[in-house]
Amino acid sequence: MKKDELTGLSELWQSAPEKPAIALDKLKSRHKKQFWLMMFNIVVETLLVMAVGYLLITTLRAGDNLMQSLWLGFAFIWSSVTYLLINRSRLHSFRLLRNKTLAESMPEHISLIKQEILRWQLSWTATLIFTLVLMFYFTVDYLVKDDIGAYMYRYLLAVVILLLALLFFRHKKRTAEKILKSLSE
Amino acid sequence: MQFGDNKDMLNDQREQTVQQYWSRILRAASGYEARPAMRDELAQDMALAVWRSLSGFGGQCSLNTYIYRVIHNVAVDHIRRHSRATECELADEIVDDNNSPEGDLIQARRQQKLIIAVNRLPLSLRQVMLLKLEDLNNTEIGDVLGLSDSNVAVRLNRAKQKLSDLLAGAEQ
Repeated sequence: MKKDELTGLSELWQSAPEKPAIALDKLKSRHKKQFWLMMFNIVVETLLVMAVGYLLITTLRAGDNLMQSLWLGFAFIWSSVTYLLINRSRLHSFRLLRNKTLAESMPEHISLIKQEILRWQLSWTATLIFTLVLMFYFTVDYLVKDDIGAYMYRYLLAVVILLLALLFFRHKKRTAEKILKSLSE
Repeated sequence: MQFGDNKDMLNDQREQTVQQYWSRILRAASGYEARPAMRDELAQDMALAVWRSLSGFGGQCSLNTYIYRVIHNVAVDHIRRHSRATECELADEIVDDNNSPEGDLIQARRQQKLIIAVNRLPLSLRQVMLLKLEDLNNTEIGDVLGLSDSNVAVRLNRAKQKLSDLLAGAEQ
C-alpha cells in the first residue's frame, strides 16, 4: 500500500459523520447502576452457595435420602468452586489497569480468558462425573428393586437436564477458546 | 495538560476531554465492533473508562497516548467478554441507504467497507492500523502499544498488506 493510499484511507476513516455529543451524566448513572447490580449479584451468589451448603448438611445429618444428598453434594461442590473462580476473575479484572500499554495488559487479558476456559472445563468435567455416578446409581437401583417405574421419569429427566448442561458448558468453552485465539492473533 | 486538584475543576476538565475525544472513541469502537448496538455500548464503555482514568493521569506520557491506551484496553476487554461478530454478521453490516444523495451513499459504503475490512484484521495488526488511521506516527503508536519503532514498522507493513487484500476482496 502506497503512502498516498494510506493517507486517503485515513481521511476516509476520519470523515465518518459527526454524532451528537455524549451524555456523560447518563453514562455515569448507568455505571453506578451496573456496579450496584454486580454487588447485588455477588450477595445473592454468596447466599445461594451458603443455602446449598446448609441444605447439604441438614440432609446428611438426617441421613435418609441418598439421592437428594448426591444432588446437593454435587450442587455444593460445583457452585463453591465456580463461585471462587468467578470472584478471582472479577478481582483480577478490577485490578487490570486500563492505562497500561497493550504489551503489558495483553497477557493479563489472556490470563482472564484462560481462567474462563478453565471454569467451563471444570463445570463440564464435574457434570460428566456426576452424570456417570447418577447413571450407575440408577442401574443399581433398577437391578435391586423390582418396582422402579414410578421413579423412572425423574431419573430420565435428571439425565436429560445433565446432558443439556454438558452441551451448554461445551459450547461456552468453545466460544471462550475462539476468543482466546482472537486475542492471541 | 495537568488536571486540577479542585474537584469541580477536575470534573469539568475530564468531561471536556472526553467530549473532545468522543469522535475518536466512536471510530475506535467501530474498528473493534461491527455490530451497531454493541459498538455503541463499547463506545460508551470507552468514554466512561477514559473519564475515570483521567484522575490518574500525572503526565507519565502524553495525554493522547494515555487516552489511546485506555481506549484500546477497553476494546480488548470487550472482545474478551463478548464473542466476535461472525463473517455473516460482518457481511450484513454493509449499509444499504437509498435515501442519501449518490455521492454521500458512495462515501458511506466506502467507509463501511473500510470498517468491515479493519474488523477482519487480526488483533495485533488491527491495533496498529487503527492508530495509524488516526494519524499517530510510529513512535506514538509504539508508546500506546508498548512496542519498539521497528516492531511497529513491521506490524504496520503487514497490516497495510492485509488491509489492501481485504479491501480488494470487498471490491470484487
